[in-house]
Amino acid sequence: MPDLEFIFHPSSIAVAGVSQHNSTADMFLDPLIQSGYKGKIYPIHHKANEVSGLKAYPSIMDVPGPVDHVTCGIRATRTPELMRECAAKRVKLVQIFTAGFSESGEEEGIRLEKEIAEISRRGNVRVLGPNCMGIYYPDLGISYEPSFPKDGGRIGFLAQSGGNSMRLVMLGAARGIRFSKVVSYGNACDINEADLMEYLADDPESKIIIGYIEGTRDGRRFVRALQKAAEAKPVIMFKGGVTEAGTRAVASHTGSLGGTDAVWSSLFRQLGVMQVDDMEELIDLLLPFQHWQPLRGKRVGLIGIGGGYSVLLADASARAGLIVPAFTEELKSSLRDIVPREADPGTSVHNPVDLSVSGWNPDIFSKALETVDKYDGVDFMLLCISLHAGCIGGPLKQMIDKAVDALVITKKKLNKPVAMVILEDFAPETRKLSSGIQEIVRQVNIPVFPSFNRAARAISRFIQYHERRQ
Amino acid sequence: MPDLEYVFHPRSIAIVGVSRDSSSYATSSFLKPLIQFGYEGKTYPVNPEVSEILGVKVYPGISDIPGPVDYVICCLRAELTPKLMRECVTKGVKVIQFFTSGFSETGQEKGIRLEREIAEIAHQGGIRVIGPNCMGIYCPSSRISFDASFPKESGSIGFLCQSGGNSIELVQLGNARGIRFSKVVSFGNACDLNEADFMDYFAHDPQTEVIVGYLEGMKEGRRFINALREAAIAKPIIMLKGGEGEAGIEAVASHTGALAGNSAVWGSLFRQLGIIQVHDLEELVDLLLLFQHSKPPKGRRVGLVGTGGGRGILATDSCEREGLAVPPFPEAVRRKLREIAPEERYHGTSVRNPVDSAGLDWNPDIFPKILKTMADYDGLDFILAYTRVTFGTERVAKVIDSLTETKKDLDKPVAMVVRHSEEPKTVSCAFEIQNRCHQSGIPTFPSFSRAARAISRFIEYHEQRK
Repeated sequence: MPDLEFIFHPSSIAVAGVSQHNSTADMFLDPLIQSGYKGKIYPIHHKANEVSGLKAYPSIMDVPGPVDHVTCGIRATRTPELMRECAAKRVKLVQIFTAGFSESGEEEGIRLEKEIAEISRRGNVRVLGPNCMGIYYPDLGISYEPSFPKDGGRIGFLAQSGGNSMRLVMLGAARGIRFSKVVSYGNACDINEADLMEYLADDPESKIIIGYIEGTRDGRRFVRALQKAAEAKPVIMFKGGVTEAGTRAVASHTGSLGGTDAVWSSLFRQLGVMQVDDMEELIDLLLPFQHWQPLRGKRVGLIGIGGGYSVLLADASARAGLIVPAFTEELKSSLRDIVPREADPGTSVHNPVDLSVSGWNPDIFSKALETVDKYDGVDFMLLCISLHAGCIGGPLKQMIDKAVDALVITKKKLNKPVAMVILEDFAPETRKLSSGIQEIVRQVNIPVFPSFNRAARAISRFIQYHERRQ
Repeated sequence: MPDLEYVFHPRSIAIVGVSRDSSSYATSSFLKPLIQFGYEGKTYPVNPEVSEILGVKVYPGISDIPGPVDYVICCLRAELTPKLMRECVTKGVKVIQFFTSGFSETGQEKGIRLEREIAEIAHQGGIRVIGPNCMGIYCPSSRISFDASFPKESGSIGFLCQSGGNSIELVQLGNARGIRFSKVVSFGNACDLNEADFMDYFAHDPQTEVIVGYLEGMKEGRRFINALREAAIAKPIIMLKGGEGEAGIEAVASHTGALAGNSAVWGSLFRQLGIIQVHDLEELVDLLLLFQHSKPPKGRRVGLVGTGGGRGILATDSCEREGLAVPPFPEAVRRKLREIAPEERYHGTSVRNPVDSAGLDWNPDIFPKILKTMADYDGLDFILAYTRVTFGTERVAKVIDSLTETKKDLDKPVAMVVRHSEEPKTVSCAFEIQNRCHQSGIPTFPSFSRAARAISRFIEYHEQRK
């Protein structure tokens, strides 16, 4: 098994093809500077003396010290020359951002890709790409997008598509997902999905693996690597190009063979690998894996605050395969002691518990949560609140803030996991409020979802994963 | 057929049970909205212990109000409602809406008896009742609302909703995405006016072009089905049926006291009548957006255009999964597109379907030509464009300008997926793009899956009506 650890630990990185504010500089040089990469950074440009405040060199050969890692943004036709220089300079890894290789489907591109693969093998330089974004490793300050989070996490991600890797990291960042390592590997002319899956399976920093792949270069080895990885850790795969037209688009994107959907899906099922169909579903599913231990069962206690959405909440839960058990008379009367019907006739103490507006009272809300937590007929709790224009700026906003503070304190006393649905209208002001609440509650391991269905589906799949492994 | 028009046009409204506490329901949900919406009729708050609230004179009782009272909103405790009903009969009130809960939905003898009693008084005294246990009416053209933050403009969507909370939820969710309503009725336990009355009304209401219903159970099943059948012939109807599973059915009982019925029966009824059934509020808003902004595409063939190869693949997969076709372009179309965006100049651009416009940098000179060429190709029925929003890119604004400008010359529907990271910073930008697109009749969606699903159901609706 190849040990790829070295690709994540370069002590120097040269970026070829940068000039002041061109896209290569924006994408590769600036993130390194801004993410606090501690090694040496060498911009390479045939004319410029300085780029982004760093001394620039006319070529790799002119860099004084050793160069471990080269990021290449020069035109495809000039890459073989660069590769030869890298071999001479004893560069360990070249990441080729440049497109225009086999994915173009054209003779010239295919030939060029073969040529660089050949130079790579002979010169003992490993290649990532071409047609990819490379490595995001926040712990070491390596990144290809300045807005990526600077703090690392436990999720390892291998992505064939550069664009989708960026999209997922950013979508995930907004919802508190943090990554150990992300590798966008494009056409995979040397290092491929099998190498990276093997690496992540053994990587102690990655506790969960996700993959976005469009096709495979080394199918047999990849399946073995996937099997090994799935035995060790939860693996979630997002397969692009599952439909006929999708497969056609794959060919022009990374030049690989998409294969048929049914084959991949049944393979994933056999290996206990979770498959998702879109990015939103993927992020949703990552949240319980990141925040929770396995649940004891699928019985959920539902608690709604401020609205009459109990019915839809119960329907969504049941539809996703969760169990919404009826509460005992004893439990219902303990809840009634907390919210007497006379005090708020709009409340209901069945499961779902509807605390109505009384739920914004921190005392009522905390006590109700603690009471359901103690009941051994449920395995976890799902809370629901709703935010919209009416919550901004008025007295309701203060009530919400207080309830959230109470939730954080109460959560620490609970024995069971808690998730939360925040329904919101996604208007900018609401988003700010909702995003603030999400940030607070995820510190106490409460994952937040934007709809009943998405919460119920993600949690249900999380439970299924652990059931199958028992 | 009952003519309920007068329900939506009261000349005076009394709100019984207002208190000095401005966060009380009566004040914040009913009095404040009337003031802020600029309701032009007379407003009479009623409370024997208060003389003025929010600058409006308060009356001790209904009978103390000098002029006639058309409409009463009741926020009193349940026990006090029969007495109020009798006063209303004497006063000649036409409609009374009960926000008050604690009736049949409690499942308890006392509440059931009270509800029967007010229904009886209503029947004998010739007063119509909305509720109890509901929010009542939002009718922007009459400047009546039960939430001060609802939009003040009218739209073409009529919404009948058994649940007060869900009615607020849908109007708010929709508001942020540009959905506008003609009339919304939250009718709760429906002890007098019920789902059949309002469905009937919406079927004939000229302000309402699309009808949405959130129902948990029926009071008058047979009449409702007849009303639904008649309405479905006249207008598109979208139904969200709450209380599908066992737990949901139980929740319905304690929510509005209705019997939810068997979900399979409802599902097949909706299918037979050509009614679109949805399962959540997000899907509902997605569909409404299409009905509000888009002409129906003639078929299921979509042309995809946007930035990023990986995104194109996901867009393609989403479309095909929902039964839309993403046909490859013939040589002639590809050649035309290549002439507009030559490989040498616009590196990384792909001219198959999806068109990957990465290399174009969303060039506002090139992009409209690409769009026009795709729209001119008669192998496509509509176009779905997609973009990712990164905070602060003026480029995105330019694309939207060129997109909305080009759209005017196209005779095929265009929709757009605007993907953002949900980060508050990017949301503002996405929000602006969305609003501008909607103004130009381009519906926008937050993900490929949701766009593809909504468009496919929109097309399906029109296919079935052919």
